[in-house]
Amino acid sequence: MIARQSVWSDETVQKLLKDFVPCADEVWRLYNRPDPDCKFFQGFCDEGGMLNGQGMDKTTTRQGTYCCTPSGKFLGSANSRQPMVIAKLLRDSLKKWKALKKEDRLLDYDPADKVKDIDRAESHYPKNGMVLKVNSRDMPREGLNENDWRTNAWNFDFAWFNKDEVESMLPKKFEKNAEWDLPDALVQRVARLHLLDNVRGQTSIFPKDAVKAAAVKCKVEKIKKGVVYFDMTGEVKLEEGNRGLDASILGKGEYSVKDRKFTRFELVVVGDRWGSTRYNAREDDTAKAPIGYCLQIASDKPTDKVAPASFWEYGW
Amino acid sequence: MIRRFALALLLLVPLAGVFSAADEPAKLTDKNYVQTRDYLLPKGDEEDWVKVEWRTTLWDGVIDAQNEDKPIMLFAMNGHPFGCT
Repeated sequence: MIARQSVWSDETVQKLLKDFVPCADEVWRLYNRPDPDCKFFQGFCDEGGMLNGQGMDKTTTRQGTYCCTPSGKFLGSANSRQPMVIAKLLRDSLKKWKALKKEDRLLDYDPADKVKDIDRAESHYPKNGMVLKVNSRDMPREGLNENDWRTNAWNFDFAWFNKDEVESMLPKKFEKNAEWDLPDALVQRVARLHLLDNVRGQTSIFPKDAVKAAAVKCKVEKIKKGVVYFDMTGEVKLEEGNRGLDASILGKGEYSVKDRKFTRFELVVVGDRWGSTRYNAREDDTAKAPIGYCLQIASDKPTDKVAPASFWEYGW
Repeated sequence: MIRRFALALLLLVPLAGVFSAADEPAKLTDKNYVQTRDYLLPKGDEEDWVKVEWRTTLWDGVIDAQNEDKPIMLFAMNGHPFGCT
């Protein structure tokens, strides 16, 4: 998460990347699945062998930055949040690349032919539905160190809704002051899969029985030029073991009757979180503390088309 | 919780003045909605990494690198690096 900002925002690294095709992907799937892209990764990821420490085995994470050729030849790897380390990796890898013959650099087949054999969550992207980007961040509080990255950490995930789900969010009739509830199943899914304490890093989802309350009520404010403007209010309470969330929700929506789609769907969620999980860097910050989320319609950019972290829970 | 939340919100420069005195109940309201939302959204250089012409899957990178005769740089994390990681 930190590398997103510390390494890839660095101007030197960005300049060096002009000589590369930069890509990003989820490493567990690449290391464990049998799909062609995964086999490709498995073919070079352990060369060098020292990426995440001595004695790499099946359980060691393969997280990191790798350089390779389209033919799958390993050029170098590093796992670092330091821009200069990655800049050196890029320079060294480019030198090795230039020393290779073209026939050794490239595949002897068209990799586009293998796309049909690759199974991944992104192929379920709901192009006729709606995607919300879920931003999470701690609300300010006393006693935090401004020089600690955790103080200003920001993370995000994506919440997907297919066409039928979007239609289920609409009222029976569009008229001023009309009131309706968003479907319980969708609100609960958003709550337990996306209103997570992932500000500092990945965390696990809440099980269904952790949802003590999750509701969003909508009310039409006005209808103007074919656009329905509505407000949303709600609450969420999640509890599982030593962790939980108790928050209130406000939101604004706009629905174009003509285009039959939401042109604005925005929820702000603020409340208290508590507890910790294995990887979310809260081991020294388990007491109740304020957290906030902002959910907004995502852009059409490729970087906003990544699947929800817990897509497997959607049941699509 | 209410008092701590009020204090927290008062620490937000853009939110200063929006909330009442710290001893009054502070909560998310229509009045502080925009400021709270803007605080939660990325700002400044937090999204500079999107200036890179990323492919969001390794195989998209392989396809383009094959066509452009370029090396591949893969950033791989537990959880997609451009989602929740």
